[in-house]
Amino acid sequence: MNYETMATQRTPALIIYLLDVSGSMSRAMGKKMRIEVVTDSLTSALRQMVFRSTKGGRLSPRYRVAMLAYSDHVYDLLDGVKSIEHVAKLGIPSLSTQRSTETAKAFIQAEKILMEELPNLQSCPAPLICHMTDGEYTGADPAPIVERIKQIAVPDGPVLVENIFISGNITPEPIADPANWPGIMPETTLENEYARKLRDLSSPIPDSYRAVMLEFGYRLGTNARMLFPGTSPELVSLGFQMSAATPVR
Amino acid sequence: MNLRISDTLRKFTGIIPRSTARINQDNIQVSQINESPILTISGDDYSFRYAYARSADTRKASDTGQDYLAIYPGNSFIAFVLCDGVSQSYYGDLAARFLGNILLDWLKFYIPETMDVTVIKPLLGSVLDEAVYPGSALVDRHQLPTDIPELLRSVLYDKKRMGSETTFVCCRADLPNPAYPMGRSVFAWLGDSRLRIWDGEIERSSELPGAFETMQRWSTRRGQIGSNVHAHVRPLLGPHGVHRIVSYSDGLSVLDDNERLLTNWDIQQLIDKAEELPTSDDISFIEILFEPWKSRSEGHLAKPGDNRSVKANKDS
Repeated sequence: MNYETMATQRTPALIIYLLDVSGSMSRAMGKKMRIEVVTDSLTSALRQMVFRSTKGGRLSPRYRVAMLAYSDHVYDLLDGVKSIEHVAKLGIPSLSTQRSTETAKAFIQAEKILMEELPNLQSCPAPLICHMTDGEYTGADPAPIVERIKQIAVPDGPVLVENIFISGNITPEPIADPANWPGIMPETTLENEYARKLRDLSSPIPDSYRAVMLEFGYRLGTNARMLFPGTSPELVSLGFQMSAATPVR
Repeated sequence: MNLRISDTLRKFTGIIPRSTARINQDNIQVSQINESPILTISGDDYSFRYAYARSADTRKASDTGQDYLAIYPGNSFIAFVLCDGVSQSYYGDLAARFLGNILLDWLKFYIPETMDVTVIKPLLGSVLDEAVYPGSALVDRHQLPTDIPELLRSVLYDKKRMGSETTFVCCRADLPNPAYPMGRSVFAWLGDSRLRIWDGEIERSSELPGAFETMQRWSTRRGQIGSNVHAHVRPLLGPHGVHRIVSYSDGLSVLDDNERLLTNWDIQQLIDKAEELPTSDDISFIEILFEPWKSRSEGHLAKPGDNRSVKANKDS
């Protein structure tokens, strides 16, 4: 129960992405649309997985990935759970924006995947759900489902839930230096009700993940939560980098 | 020392497949594309044994192991280098083999004739720094496979820019002679490959100065990373002597808690077991035993009937 199990070819890490593609994702973030920033960051996270899975010229797949885009409906972008080797061949699916934000539906679908995969994950690192959204849910409250998911555990630990919240500033001070930013702590003042809710739903960052993030150049603090305010492309990228931070052999 | 290793090995080519251990100017260069089950070579003044195994996934893919082990078993000294190529760098086996050969040459021909570590260490540091230029050129010349996905190709190009990296442990042990009446052992390392020494039955590894850290390594682009090279010199004989030297890569970390002298059988069992773990990694292992302790421990080196034990002497 310490998130120390290493991702290997025989015990790959399962990462499930839940990507909000509601209409608001077409709003601008810097010079790009939010959805483009997310696509770029997702690409760089998958590159990181390929980087960490490569031995010589061979891809030794240490990650398995599912990718669900959601709006009014949930779209399975990879048609199931696929190895990073497969994703590397496919490339990143294109994301286009839809309308509403049915977050609960996406988490229900993630829960289904987890339950199907669970028997095969007993020697693997704890799975991680990386949820990216830019606004409050429509439809049912996802909190009860997320809490249920956080109770699902493998010997390495309970399922980890990470949230990337693309929004305006949610902290009293803008985050000027992501590399030295300690992260969102339980006591950090958050000026947005939904951000506070997402923090409650986010897992604490395991020490092993913090150590890997340090290798990536980020100094996250001991009690930081897996909540990343996506106020800039760099912070969105930081959030997605975290999803590839399972320790690997 | 009457150890004529190449003659001995040639004589036993039925036991040691040619592809497993290559003899090059009396060096034993353990193959990176095969497994070498543990093999003991016994001489009059010292004996040694070594083994090599690729990780399970590397073996399955018929790929090159990223560890590199080379040994020079000379008449007046023995030298070895054990490198563990960093798998997340660009083809770690490249740096491991390249640096390993440079270090073994340096130990054989260029190491200064002194017991003074403050003389040896900076010279070795210069060797490591000067190896960057040819190391970078080697990586630049290296061609990527043609039939790989675009994303993988792009990642490999990134890695190529960052270079190939390896950890290493190297050692030269001079038998007692007029220049070193008590013998001399020189050790150097960078990274987390293991180096352990014993004086009789007492392990003295804690007397090795400097850390064995994962983040310390040598890169074809940047030279020494995380620290300057660590080095240590001590006699073979006397109160601070060395009778036994063991080095292995982190793939055999199950050996960390063991202080006893194990049989070949035990070590091969540990290697085989480590290869079955999900975290299976490449394994290289070498152990050297010096006289006069050898006579007390000879029985441990090979199990009775173990045909992977080679006796070398002046008649071989």
